[in-house]
Amino acid sequence: MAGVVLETLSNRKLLGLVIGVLVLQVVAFLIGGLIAPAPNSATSLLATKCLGEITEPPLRDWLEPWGQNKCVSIQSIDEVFHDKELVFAVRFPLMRENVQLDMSRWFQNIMAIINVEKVYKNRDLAFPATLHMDARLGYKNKGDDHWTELVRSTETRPLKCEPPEIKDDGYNYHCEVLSLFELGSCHHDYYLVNIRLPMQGGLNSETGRIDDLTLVEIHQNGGFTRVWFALKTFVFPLLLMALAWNAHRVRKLDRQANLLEKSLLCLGCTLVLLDLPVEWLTLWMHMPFMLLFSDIRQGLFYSVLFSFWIIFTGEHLMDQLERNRLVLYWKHLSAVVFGCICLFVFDMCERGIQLQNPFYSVWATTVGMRLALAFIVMAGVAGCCYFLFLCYMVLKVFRNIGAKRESIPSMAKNRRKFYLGLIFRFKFLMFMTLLCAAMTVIAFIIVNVSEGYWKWGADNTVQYNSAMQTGVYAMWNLYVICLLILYAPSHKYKMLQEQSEATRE
Amino acid sequence: MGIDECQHQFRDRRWNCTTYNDTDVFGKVLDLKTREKAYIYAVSSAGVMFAVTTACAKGELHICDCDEKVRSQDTKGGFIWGGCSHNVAFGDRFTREFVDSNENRFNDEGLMNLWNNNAGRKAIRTSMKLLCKCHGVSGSCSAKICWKTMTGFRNIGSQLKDKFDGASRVIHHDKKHRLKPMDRYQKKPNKKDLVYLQESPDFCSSNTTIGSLGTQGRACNKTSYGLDGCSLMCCGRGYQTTLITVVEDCNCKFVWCCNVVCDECIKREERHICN
Repeated sequence: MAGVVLETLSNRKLLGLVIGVLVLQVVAFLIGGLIAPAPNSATSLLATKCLGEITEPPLRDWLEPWGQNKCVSIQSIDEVFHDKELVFAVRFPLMRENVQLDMSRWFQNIMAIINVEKVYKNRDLAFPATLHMDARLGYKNKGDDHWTELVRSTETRPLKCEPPEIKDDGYNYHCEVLSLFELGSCHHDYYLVNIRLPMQGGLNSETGRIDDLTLVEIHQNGGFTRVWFALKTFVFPLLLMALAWNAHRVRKLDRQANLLEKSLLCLGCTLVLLDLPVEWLTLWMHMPFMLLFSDIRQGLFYSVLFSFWIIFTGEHLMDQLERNRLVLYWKHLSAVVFGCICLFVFDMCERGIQLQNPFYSVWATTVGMRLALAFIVMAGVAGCCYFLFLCYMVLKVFRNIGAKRESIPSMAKNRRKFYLGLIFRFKFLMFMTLLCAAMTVIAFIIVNVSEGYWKWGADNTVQYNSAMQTGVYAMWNLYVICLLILYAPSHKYKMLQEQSEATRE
Repeated sequence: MGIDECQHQFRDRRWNCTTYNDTDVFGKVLDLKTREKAYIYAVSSAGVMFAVTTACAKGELHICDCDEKVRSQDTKGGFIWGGCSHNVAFGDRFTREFVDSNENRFNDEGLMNLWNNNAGRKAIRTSMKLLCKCHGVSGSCSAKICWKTMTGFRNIGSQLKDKFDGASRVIHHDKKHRLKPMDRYQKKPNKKDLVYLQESPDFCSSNTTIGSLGTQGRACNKTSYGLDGCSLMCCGRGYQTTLITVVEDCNCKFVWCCNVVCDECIKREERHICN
């Protein structure tokens, strides 16, 4: 195995590199924490209960909760109305301070969740039921007169409600939130949702009272998108340069590139794909597939990263076995590939179908839910297998290192240098990887446990969530850039080797 | 909204949140600085806040603001950059300006009312529920979005009723111009508690000067030992029992949409009326 830059780099240069990387890392955290707003914002919108005409065949006019063509509405479902149908209508964004806001393309994606408000009345107990909805989503741009239909779908959702603690008239049930739709793009200015709860053929006969629907509209914040784009656009050329340099070094070798060098290049390529700031195009073009595309890019990167770790560890086993062939790692790599395929299938089922019908959700039906869970569990099992393999291999390397340590003093100078280099290389990568993995896990935990920070008054100072996202993103980029630089084939090493051979002669 | 809630919560008390059909809705009971007045102020203030917040969320009110904290940007810019703050924040501020502006900050009564108004608003803020949703790669929890929702107003009314029962009597501290507990060993009321300056009348007999209708003619519960029980409700004056037949709705089921189908049950019931 050839020497790499890491072994021949002077301590001063290495220190400089490490400090540079640390500075960039801290800057990435600070940008996320101090400049960017929270990654997403959620707005609760209370649906207006509009009254629509019942006609045969059904006329499907849009009912607007407010604005120029405001619908006729009722305050409570206890009000009597005849020959009309009830339509829950939500339009967003709302007017604020008498300014008509519009959705910006910087928002990237929109997700909507509904919360069913049920009031306990007349000792009428609610049982788990299926909510049937005839949901429509429409949009309008500035200057348009009419709403255009984006999608219309008949959907079912399981409705699970807990009765209130005090069973007395007027208290609210606690219902589980239901996902409504997920749009991979935010291309239009105004959106309108009309939800009918049909009653033909006994549909919705078990749901009981539905006093109100609250729709929670969630989108990525424009400020966060800007910071994110800026970060990507800055990192991309850096990574590209490192990759080009590494490829150049490998090409200049007077032998074929070995497996490790190839897999490192491959890792660099997938990260380049992940960093490629194609998101800029969403500001001009309608690209609803971006959510799926980002998922696939991320999945690809992580699967190649996992494979790289396996190959790297395998190539440092030091058991005199000539590996250097991908086939030898089939057991380990198949675990990675299998896990990734499972997640890919799951993602295609959810986000792939959502391209056709944003109201679709795998979790809405029991069969879909079981299937989705099965895929996730399989992916989890594959992940566990992978980590067992990896741990086993790392342990083996450390055992071999221990064994080699004893015999090192008795080795020839060249051999000793070779093994010391190998050990150093391995330990350095182990250290870096563990650090990055630990940081990622910590970030993940903070994001999940940071509910306390949602208490009132604590917001708006430092955005932990944004900091974690930009920080982790920058960290893996820097990790790969470091690998590309430090583990590129070294000139110096070759020269040194030739020199020592010359002196021996 | 506040009135409805008040009458629901106090339907089994001697004072049952009597209202009159004139401009002075609650009548003379507001002339005394009692617990009842404290509750009325708190529940009204909470009611206004709840209604404003709901109207904002419905899009009925166009003046709701976006974010009071980001003042450097205009509304549109602020919305695109970081979204708008929760409507409750606006509801809170609006109520503060609207309801509190009538109060005189320089006497004991004004201070008491301001305190109770604030306690009403606090009740809404503290009863808000946090809901979260995972939003990461393939729906994993690597990113999480949380938001707050208001609970129903009945909940807030009952919370304030608990505060009514545990309200603290305070006196006005002239030098510091603050309210302080009646005696030194009493726990200091916090911002969520209700405070009052005078003990309530017993509301047993009719007395128009204090706005008490008396409990004569009120129904009471024979088996209860609480405040709705006959001995307490009727202030020891005794009660008359009549046997009546009532037709009431039972086994109700709500049919979407929208009517309630009930069976009619005929019940014979003893009714106790205070003398």
